[in-house]
Amino acid sequence: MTASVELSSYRDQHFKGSRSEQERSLRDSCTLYVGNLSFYTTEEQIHELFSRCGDVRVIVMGLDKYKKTPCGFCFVEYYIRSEAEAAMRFVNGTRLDDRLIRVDWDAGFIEGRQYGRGKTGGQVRDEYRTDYDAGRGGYGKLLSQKIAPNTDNR
Amino acid sequence: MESGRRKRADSSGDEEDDSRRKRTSDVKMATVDRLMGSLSYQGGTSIELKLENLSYLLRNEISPELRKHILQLLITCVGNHPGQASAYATFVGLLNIVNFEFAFECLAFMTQKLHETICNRDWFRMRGVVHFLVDLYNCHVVTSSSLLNFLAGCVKECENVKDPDDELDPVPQTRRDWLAYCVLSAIPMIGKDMQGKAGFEGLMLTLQIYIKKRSTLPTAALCIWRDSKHRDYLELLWQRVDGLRREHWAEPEHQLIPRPYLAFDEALSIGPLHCLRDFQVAPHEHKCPYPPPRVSFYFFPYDTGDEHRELPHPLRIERHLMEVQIQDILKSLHLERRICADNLLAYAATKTQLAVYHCIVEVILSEMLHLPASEWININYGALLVELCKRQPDKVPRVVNHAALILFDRLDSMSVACFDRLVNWLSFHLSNFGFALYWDKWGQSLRSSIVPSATNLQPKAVFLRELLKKCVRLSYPERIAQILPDFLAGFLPRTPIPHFKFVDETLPGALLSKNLLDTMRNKQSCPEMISTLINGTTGIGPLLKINVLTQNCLHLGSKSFSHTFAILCKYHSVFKDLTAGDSEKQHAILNGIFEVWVDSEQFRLVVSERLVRMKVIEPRCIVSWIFGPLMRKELTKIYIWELLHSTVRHVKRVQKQNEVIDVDCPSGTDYAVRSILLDIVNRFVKALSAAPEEHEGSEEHYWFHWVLGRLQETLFLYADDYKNISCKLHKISEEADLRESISKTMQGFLTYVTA
Repeated sequence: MTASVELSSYRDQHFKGSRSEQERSLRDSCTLYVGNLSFYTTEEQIHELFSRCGDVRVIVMGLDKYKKTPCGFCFVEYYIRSEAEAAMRFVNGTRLDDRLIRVDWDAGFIEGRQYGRGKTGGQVRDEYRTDYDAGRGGYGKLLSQKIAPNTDNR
Repeated sequence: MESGRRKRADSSGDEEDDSRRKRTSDVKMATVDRLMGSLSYQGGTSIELKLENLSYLLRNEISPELRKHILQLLITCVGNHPGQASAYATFVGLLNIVNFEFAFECLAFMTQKLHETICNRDWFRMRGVVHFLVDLYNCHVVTSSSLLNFLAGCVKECENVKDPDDELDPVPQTRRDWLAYCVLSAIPMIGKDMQGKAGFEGLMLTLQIYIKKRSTLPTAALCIWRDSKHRDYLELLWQRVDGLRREHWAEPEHQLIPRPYLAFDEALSIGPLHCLRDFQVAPHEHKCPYPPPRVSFYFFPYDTGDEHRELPHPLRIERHLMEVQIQDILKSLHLERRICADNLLAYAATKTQLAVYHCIVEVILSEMLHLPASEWININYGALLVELCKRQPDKVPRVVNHAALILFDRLDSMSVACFDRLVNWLSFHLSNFGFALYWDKWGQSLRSSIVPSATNLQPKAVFLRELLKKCVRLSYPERIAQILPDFLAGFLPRTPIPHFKFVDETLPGALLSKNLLDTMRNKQSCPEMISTLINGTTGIGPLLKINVLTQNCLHLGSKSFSHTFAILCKYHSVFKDLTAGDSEKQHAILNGIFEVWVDSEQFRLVVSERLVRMKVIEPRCIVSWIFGPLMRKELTKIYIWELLHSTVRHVKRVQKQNEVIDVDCPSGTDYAVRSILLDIVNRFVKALSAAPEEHEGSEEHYWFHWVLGRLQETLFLYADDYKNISCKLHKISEEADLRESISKTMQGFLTYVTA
């Protein structure tokens, strides 16, 4: 019974090392990437939810590169691999702050990775989104620049 | 050159043949894999069709490798899905018609595996194999007399049970119980056929006498509700089977006993019969952990269900059959919530006249609340229920809400030992469904409105308060306040804001605090500068200095856990130097934390926990702090116990790391866990003994109830560790002046672990 803890198809393109090294560290990792968070979700909320799978060693909140405010993702590290697996099994795809959150393996946090990699400072996905997502700053960055005059009165 | 090329071409032709043969056999093996796996899934194609396909595929000679492969698959499938043993037995029955040797080999293989399951303590698989062998009789593979001999061999040890007062019996009751359970649970499958046969009636008599003679005392401590009957699992199963017998083995309704072989009756009847060899159960080994005693309990009333779907009475065999199917699915698939939900719902879809959804929810929640402790982590049950609700939104959520209401209604008599699990589950569940609950209905269930005041320690008041705290922790105060009806608003926790007391500059220590703050805010500050400042300050005592430092750090880091942790890390050495080895000084840090975060239990918990992990505060100091005078009122709240258990887990984690380093001397590290656990019990007993005895309904009365329940919870949580120091616990429980309820709790636990 391992379907929920298998590696997903996502690979961090900034990983320093070969693909097989990356996969090896993903398989041994106790660190998770957590995505699709609301910008307003706090570290304390994440701590509460993820503590239910085991003792959390550290949470690193993802920040906007320029504004240094939460931009909708974080890393959660456990002491034990099996507890991280429990989070993959039971938290991935459940709700936090009324949003379905995504949990995936991460090869381990390195300084600098807490910042969004999008051009405007947030996550790349928030650059090109065309939907309106109130929890993640409204429309995607590109779109909201185009329709900027209208959004002021929103 | 020429001939060489030809040679190569020739040999490649051979290879092609070989590889083609290999490919076909691989394909065949994969198909067998898939079809055999599918027999344990109740949805999709009918079992009969799957069986036909399988037996058609294997109608010819089976190669030795394939034969070996099939046997391995059989033991895996039967072990993982004992509820589907009948399908696998039918499969072997169908092969037996054309392939006598295979069935013969299979019998030898499975009895060998049965022996191994006992040696490997693989109890779940053991039951599956017994059921499989029993169903082989139904599939016309083994003779009735040899099967009855086999079953009699399994329960031989149940025949001469000594009186409980007799000298110590080397074989624990849990062993006999499990053997009896494996056989008794298979009886409904063969009762109708076997009734009247001497061997069968003898077997039933053996079981009946055993049930009468065995002790049900070990389960006395496992009651979830004080005011309702809990049934020992084996005794209950006997009553259900006996009920079936009294109805002359009338077939349970709704095809609850899966009998796929009936469709192949005629074909199977021409298969040759084999004899099961005599079976001797592997002897008892010292300290072998058998499945522990259990109780069964129900919370949906008998008449639950709706017009079309009935819930069988708890004493009827139908209820047992339904529960076991659900438990088996949970047991084998609980880690994969989506697959598990699929299987559960597929099962529900096959029983349209039964209240299967109620049964599923009841089984999941009772497994979750089960005493001494649930088998899997709390969120496992929660995630499963969320998944079920999402897949059947018009069926399951109603049932879950109904269950939550019933559990809420019965809180007054519910054991404290499973209280947190209920709170944690419900908060997680609510968080997944927008915190929508029939809150109004809950209001109606409160006969008189309950006072939200903090001194109200009635179970329902405490539950509402703690539930809302957890909801707020998963969300935020405004969100919860928004969905809560007015009459419950009083139960909302206070907004978690920090209270930095040195804003008041007249307080003693305020000057040091101000100086420290200025230095700490400076980017160039370092621990040495802080140490010098603190040590250089005269006129205030060491405890106040620690208080100032703690207050300052938490104030500066109050933005989030990470901010707090970063600053605590930075001044780690300062804290260490100020407090090393001294519990009073470590308590001063805790005091500072609890002052600043008077409005946030989560911060109190997480920051204290972090300082334990940073080795600034020793685990023993957390224990003495929790049981100290300042925390007396806090003992009725969940967070304080979260702190205690997190501390014990830390001690265990450190022990484990040390074990890796120090393989030669494991007992030395074991000592840390034992001593903290013993210290905890001693302090429990002391705190409980010091409590005034007051009339029922008073605050003190409830306080005692909560803390006594926490003692039981702690014993249960670390049952294996406490078992190792049971002599010491025994001594404590026998102290002459101990209040009866305390010694009863401890003795109940001891009876349970030593069963």
